[in-house]
Amino acid sequence: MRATFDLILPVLLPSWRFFETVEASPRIEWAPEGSDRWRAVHPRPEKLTGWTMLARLFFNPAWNEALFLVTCAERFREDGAPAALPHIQERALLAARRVEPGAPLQLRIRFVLGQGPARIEEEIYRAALFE
Amino acid sequence: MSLETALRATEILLALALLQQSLEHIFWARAERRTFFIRAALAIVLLTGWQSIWVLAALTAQSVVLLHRFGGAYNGGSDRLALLILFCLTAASFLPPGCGREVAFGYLALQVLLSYVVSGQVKIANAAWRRGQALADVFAFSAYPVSQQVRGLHRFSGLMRAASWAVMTLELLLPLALISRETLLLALGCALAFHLANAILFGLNRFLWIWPAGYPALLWLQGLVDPLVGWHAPTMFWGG
Repeated sequence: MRATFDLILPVLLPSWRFFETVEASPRIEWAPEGSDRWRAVHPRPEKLTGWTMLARLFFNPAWNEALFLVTCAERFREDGAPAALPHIQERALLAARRVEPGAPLQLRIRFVLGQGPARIEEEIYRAALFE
Repeated sequence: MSLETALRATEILLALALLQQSLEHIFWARAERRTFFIRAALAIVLLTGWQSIWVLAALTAQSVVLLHRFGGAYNGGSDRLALLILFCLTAASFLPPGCGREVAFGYLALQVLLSYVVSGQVKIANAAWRRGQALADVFAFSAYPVSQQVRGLHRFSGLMRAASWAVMTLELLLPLALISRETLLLALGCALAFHLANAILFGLNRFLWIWPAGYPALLWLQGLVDPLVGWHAPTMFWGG
């Protein structure tokens, strides 16, 4: 009951403080075990055509999943919320298996802040990714 | 806009937004397919207007289950507003016509207004937003830009400053648009263009669908405050 109340309260009393400050941003990546060839779970394309942008106004599930994983990574970092991690592992595994069907895999979560020489990176999680 | 018309318009827009969200889950995430198939079916029934009160109650109950499944809102602010609209509509449907129903729907109108004003207020209080640096940072290293090409926009500092001020001005001045129906329609058109830009540049397509579902509440609220503060351009300029 308490858990339900904690979930509903932010819906009934939203904060609406969008982008009050620009915080460190997560990067969720996988690689074959023992390798340093890290790839984003949801890679960002170089560019999108106008047609793709238009279509994504109506149907954009992969991107919305990527935003959900960003939220999960932020929850994991801020609250150490263990419940957020399985969501990331499950979806990272699905994405990685499309590229690497058989190899053992690892997952890492980094946070980046700033740009250029002032850029700060912090790795908060790295572990094997199990089926 | 009458309360009943505004409630029905909100139901229709909410149903379309929930249907859009559900279809994304159905065609993408196998594990959640059954849950969102039911949600899509309920959204279609809500569109028809048949037994709305029970459909809204079922959608509300399912929303609580989804909050547990995802550990909170799946898609941040957009899902939070969708649930708020759903809760307010459900409350309004179960309350008898009159004051209680108006309070439930008025609360939704207030929150939609606050979603712009609070967001604008926290930005303008931040020097980095006033300089355009915060928006440049959003483009440069946040998770939101949809492509590397869009990420590169952070290099245009003049554009970042102008866009920051345009967003803050819109968000902060939106409540003043309640002065007349014409100004409110103009402001909501600008707000819609803002959500469209966010959908194109940052992939926030769910915001584009759900925020307009809150607009009938603002149009209804404007009808209430109009006799108090009403300003009508045609009357002033055409002499009534």
